[in-house]
Amino acid sequence: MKNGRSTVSMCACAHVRMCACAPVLGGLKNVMATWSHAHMATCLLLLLPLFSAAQTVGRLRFSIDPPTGYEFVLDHKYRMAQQEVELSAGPHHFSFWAPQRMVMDTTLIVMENSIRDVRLRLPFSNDYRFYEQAVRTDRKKVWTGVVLPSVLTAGAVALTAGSFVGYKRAHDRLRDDEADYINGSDPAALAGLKSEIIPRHKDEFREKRGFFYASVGVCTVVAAGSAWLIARHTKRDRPRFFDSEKVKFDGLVWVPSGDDAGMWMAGLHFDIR
Amino acid sequence: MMKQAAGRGQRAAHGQRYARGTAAVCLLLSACCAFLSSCYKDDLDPAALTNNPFDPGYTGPAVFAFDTTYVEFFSVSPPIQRQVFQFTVNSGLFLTPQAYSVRVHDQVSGTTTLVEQFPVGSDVLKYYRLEFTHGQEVCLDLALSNNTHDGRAETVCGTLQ
Repeated sequence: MKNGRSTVSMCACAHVRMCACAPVLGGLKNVMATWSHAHMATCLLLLLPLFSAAQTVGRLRFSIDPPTGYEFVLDHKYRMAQQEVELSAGPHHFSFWAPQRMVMDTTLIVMENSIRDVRLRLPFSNDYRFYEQAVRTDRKKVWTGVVLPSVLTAGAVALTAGSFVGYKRAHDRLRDDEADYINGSDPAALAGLKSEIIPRHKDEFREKRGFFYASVGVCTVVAAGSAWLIARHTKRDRPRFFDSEKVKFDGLVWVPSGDDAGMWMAGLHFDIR
Repeated sequence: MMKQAAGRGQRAAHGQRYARGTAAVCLLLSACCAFLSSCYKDDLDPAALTNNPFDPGYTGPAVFAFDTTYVEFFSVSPPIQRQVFQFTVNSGLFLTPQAYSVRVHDQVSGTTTLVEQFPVGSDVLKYYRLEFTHGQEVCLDLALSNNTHDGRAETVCGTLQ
């Protein structure tokens, strides 16, 4: 209504100026008077853009958390994504939204011929909080599903490798004993080799071989279990983020385009989980 | 948002590759362990080790063989004569070339003597007897000896004509 008053007063002023020119032109007075009344409506229409430019406006400069990716719907109609807007003075409704954040409705008052800084932090949506929690839980599953089996398998492999080294050394000792027998020329040493050293080394060899077989069995079981756990972990359902706030935000807005045509957007969500 | 989703997708794919790789490595290591377990056998039997002639438990062919026996004369004052009992050692039976001595037990005189290789490397050894009788068979117990220990003894006999 304020703009309306301003327009009316400026049109009245233009009419007074026209009337003030009439005495100077003398004989054209009547003609001008006739022209003035006949084309008053045309005058108003032609001067309307000038009157509109005289509207009182103000600016809003947004400082939003998150600083990028946010969008807003102005006055339930215009979907925008910009850091600063110029609006007519007065209250305006805003619906702010950003990915992973909640839609925040607020009314901001635009002050005449001034720039207002608007600082706003969009809270994380409940969907995103649940998603984050699910991701954290899923990360813990990585420890039990991948890391722990891998560590156990590595330990079992190390144990098996160690037992294999012992097994091989015991076998090598027997081979050395055999070589000692072949190369030996001391009858007492040969007798001792056969009666004492070789039997002792054979006992050690059997012990090491048994330990190696046991560790191979353990390693096989652990490796198979690890493979199963890792495969199961790979096939698990991963947490997925569904931004219902975006659906809500996309609900029904008009997006301005370059040719002033715009388009209507509507969203529909079926939760099939 | 798109970058985050792409990053999550890449991480998921990387995780799946790691998981499958780990599983494959685990199974491969298990297979290797099972294969290695069959590499070494306990095939050394002490009772079967009887082919070293220096072994007291040697069971192979005879190492010693009688060669000849004769009497040597030394024209010194007073003159000396002695019986030479010559025998050979079949060093081809040795598993590896070895130096050795032979312990000789004279069954007639009851004495035991250590005979060395002379010259070194020779497999023909001589045992000397100062008391001898022509036509008497002399039997010697011979055994390879090293470090004062003796191997299997074999009896070799010869008669001085």
